[in-house]
Amino acid sequence: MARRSQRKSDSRKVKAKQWYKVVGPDMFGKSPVGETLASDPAKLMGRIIETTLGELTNNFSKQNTKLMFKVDQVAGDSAYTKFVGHELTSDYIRSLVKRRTSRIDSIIDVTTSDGYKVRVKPSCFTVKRARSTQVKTIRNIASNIIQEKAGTLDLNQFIQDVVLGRISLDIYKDAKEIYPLRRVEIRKTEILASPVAS
Amino acid sequence: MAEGKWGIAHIYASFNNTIITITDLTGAETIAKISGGMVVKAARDESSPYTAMQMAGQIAEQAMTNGIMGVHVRVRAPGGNKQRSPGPGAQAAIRALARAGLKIGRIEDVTPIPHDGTKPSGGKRGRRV
Repeated sequence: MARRSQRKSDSRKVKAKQWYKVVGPDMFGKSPVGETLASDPAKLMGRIIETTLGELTNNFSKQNTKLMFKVDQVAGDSAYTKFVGHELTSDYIRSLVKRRTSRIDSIIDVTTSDGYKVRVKPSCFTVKRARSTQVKTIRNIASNIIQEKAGTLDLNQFIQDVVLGRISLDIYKDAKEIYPLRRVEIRKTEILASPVAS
Repeated sequence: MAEGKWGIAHIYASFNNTIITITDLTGAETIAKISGGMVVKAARDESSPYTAMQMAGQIAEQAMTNGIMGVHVRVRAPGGNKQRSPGPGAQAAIRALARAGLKIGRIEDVTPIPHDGTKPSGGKRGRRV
């Protein structure tokens, strides 16, 4: 009985709405990432769409990096987005965590050379359990490398480096001299603030 | 990305109910929704796999009339301080969505996991049945 009334109302509402194309940001080549539905273009602003890096680059091995894009401009029937952050899927992270090893998490706030404030969360996974001094040194190394990189690169290049794993490779090379590492990943980034328009 | 429109199927599967909501890719617009109680009358059947199958069939039909060709699936259990693994309806629902003709994209578990939450109900000595 409840079924009948539900069905009618939903399908009627959808018909009054229009589909808009969502276009990815510049740094990922302005490729289409999907479609969204709205009755009014103003309602599109601020919506967040999620894709994987694998889908954008047609690379199956990058399936566990999720990218978040936020709509910030609507023109005609397409909505333009900007990058707001990335995250690894939780099941991938869980597959990396093992017993009797250390997982070295840290949270680092950096400012890129063009003034974006970005929060970067790297994780290092060791082969065996590390001592706390080693953990601290590795954390320092990770922090230094990320600070240094962010200072020289602009947001676009920085995000490319983070997402494509160049920064984690650098951290891996330096930190494995302190203690053998299994894996280094940038688990998450968040864009905290964009530069104030002057 | 393949041709046609994609959506997201949010499947919330607890031990007492299953709720499926199909939205667009941003998750801001609901396209179709259904819950266990809309299909069966008895409260104890709301979470059963059979109900989930029927629900998935109905919702897939609704979604396809609205132009959805495939869905990415986000499965969710109650989470928080309750159980972390999805209820009996989740798996049945995904399979039935695929059987009904919707393409299934990536499947992800989005159960909310606390980094350290509140005390679970049941008291110090646990639930004594």
